[in-house]
Amino acid sequence: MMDFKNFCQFLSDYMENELEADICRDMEELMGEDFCCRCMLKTFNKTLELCREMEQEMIEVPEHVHIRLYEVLHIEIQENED
Amino acid sequence: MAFEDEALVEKAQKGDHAAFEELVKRYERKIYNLAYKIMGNAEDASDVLQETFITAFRKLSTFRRESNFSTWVYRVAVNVCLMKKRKEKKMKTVSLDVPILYKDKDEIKRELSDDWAKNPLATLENKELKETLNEAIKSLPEEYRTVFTLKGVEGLSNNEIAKILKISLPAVKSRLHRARLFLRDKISEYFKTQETGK
Repeated sequence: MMDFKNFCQFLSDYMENELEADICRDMEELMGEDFCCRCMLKTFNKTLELCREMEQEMIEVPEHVHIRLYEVLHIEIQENED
Repeated sequence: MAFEDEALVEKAQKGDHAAFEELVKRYERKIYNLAYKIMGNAEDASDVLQETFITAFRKLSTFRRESNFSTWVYRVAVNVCLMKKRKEKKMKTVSLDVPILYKDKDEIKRELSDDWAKNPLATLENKELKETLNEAIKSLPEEYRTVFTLKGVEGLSNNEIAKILKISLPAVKSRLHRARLFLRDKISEYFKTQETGK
């Protein structure tokens, strides 16, 4: 009997596309039969989709931060050479 | 022709500072974004960015090139973030053996049946939802947020994340799964509020 921890692991592998195709198909079939499971799967997938979309939004390094980084690095390099 | 990271690292280890600067240029934005998401604010992200590359410069000679430079530099950045958090005593201790949220069975069942996946408001163009998701990510316990961020910012594999954080692969999967579950619950709560508010 699968416990909750194993189930989470299983679901996680499914989300990561790390399950064998036939196991994946079986799981989708099994989950599709139960309304709650179906909702869980759909909302979980949608959450991942939203997260991925959000992750693609990269922030630019502010100019002053970029300048300061190089200033500090040059000091470090200089000290290293001395 | 652009050099691979490995070639740049080799040059930098031999004292070629331009090669090191090229590595900084390649990873500056990625590290800043990683730090911003873990620390949650621009000021700390700037400090982490600076400290990461200073540390990387000082420790470059100890990098044995057994892993990718990216994995190594992310590890440095994550360590800087976590040390900074500890120093600021902001770090909360959360047992990793327990789920983030406890709910009674009825509550779980009720939430599971909330199918908002096809709701037209389930998009990031919905500013309110975007803000909800942002806040939810910020409120993730440290251990979960770090794994979630590493997975997201760079799309690192679970194995790479395990190496960076020096934790087991099942631990990475478990933290990632719990983080996602937590975020799903937060979005469900948002849609529930929307419904009851009508």
